[in-house]
Amino acid sequence: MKRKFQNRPWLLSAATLAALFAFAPALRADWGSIRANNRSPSQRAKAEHRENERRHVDTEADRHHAFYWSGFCAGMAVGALPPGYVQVSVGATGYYYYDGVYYQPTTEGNYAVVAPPVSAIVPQLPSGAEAIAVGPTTYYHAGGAFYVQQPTGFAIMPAPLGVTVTMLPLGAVPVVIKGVLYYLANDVYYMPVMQGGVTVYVTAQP
Amino acid sequence: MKTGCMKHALVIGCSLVLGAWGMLAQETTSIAPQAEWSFRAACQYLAEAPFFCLTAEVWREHVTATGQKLQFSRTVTFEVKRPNRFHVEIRSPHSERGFWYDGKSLTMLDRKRNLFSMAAMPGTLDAALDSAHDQFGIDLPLMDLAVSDPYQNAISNVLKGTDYGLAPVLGVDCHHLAFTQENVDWQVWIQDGPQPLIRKFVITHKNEPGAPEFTAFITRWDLTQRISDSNFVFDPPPGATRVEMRQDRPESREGRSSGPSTLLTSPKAK
Repeated sequence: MKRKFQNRPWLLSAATLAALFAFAPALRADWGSIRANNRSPSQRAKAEHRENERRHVDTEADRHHAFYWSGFCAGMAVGALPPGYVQVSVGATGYYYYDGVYYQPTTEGNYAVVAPPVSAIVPQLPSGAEAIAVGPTTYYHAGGAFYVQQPTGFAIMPAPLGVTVTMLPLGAVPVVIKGVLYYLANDVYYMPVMQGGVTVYVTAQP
Repeated sequence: MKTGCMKHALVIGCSLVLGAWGMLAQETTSIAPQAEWSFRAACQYLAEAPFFCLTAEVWREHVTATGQKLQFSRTVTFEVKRPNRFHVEIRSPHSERGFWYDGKSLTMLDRKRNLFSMAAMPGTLDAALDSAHDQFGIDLPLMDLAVSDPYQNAISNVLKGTDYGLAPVLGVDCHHLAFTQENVDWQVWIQDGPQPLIRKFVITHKNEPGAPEFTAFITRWDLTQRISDSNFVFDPPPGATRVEMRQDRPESREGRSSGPSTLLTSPKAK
């Protein structure tokens, strides 16, 4: 099976997406109250087109803490690569990849965690990748990288501006530019806003 | 003779239609008297309280793409002063948020990031809760207990209500009531005795895959100790930064991530 996918990476991508949509649950709008579930039909109609996007973002942080990539950021180092890693390259530069985390060997014999390299193509999305629709393009966000599906896998793209993500990459640092607070991670600026009762982050160009 | 028969047939037809309509109406809403009485008593007790404070542990279920069901928990403290004050704290190791409503504005504080945002609100609890929900997508857990008429708020869409008798909740004997709506089912456990306090509350999102549930155990009620007005006024912590409270409008949704249907759970690179 593994060889089959290696020879035809598009098959793996298709299988991933098929699984994704086959198990796609309906999206919940409201959770902790009957009142929110009972908003009148006219109010619901007003919000009809947003219903498909509503979800309870409150628990997203809890979920994302469980994914492999959530514990890593550029600058960390590990003594050994995780089992199941794959090699990817961008031009002449090689990387080791496992579930949203990119490594390069160090002169000390360790492996340094590096920022997700733009243009790298990986065979599968990191676990827990968040899908973000930007016009006709669907990005998948995980570990501070934005992926777009390609025939050969999922490619890391430059961060699209103005998109909202529910969690900052580990290691994001606050910076204030012209009086506005941003968080900076992997050369991407995230502006915090509050929406749906939680803090979310919008990619921005200060 | 012919006209008389026709009139007779018309009367019988109308009777049948009305009878069927009556039966249908009876079938569409059927609340057992004991369930109705118990729930109304609990709601009336709550509605008549000019102020209250409760502490609850709430569980929210998430069904992953593979069907695995996860429960995420929070502790919630809810302070209410009728008709136009509330203060809510929602805490977990990953998330600590406070909400203050002082009759004029709603403030949300993200304690982990030390960020806050504010928005103008209508002048009553009911209107403010609806506005927070409709404008900003804020669905505060247990807000059903804070509204001015908890009974009508909860019962308005109920199709069927049943009383399952007494059951213990955290060591307290409670009346276990179950209600069915078209979109959700919900259950409530009401303390037996002279203080009909709600001790447990479950909403089942039955139309969603895996029927995820919201569960709240109310571990502490206080309807006697006065709550100072200052509890409902937001005081920014040192260094807190104000950010935008973004409207929950379709036009602001371009580029918004699209929800749990698109979250993968376990594909690992091989």
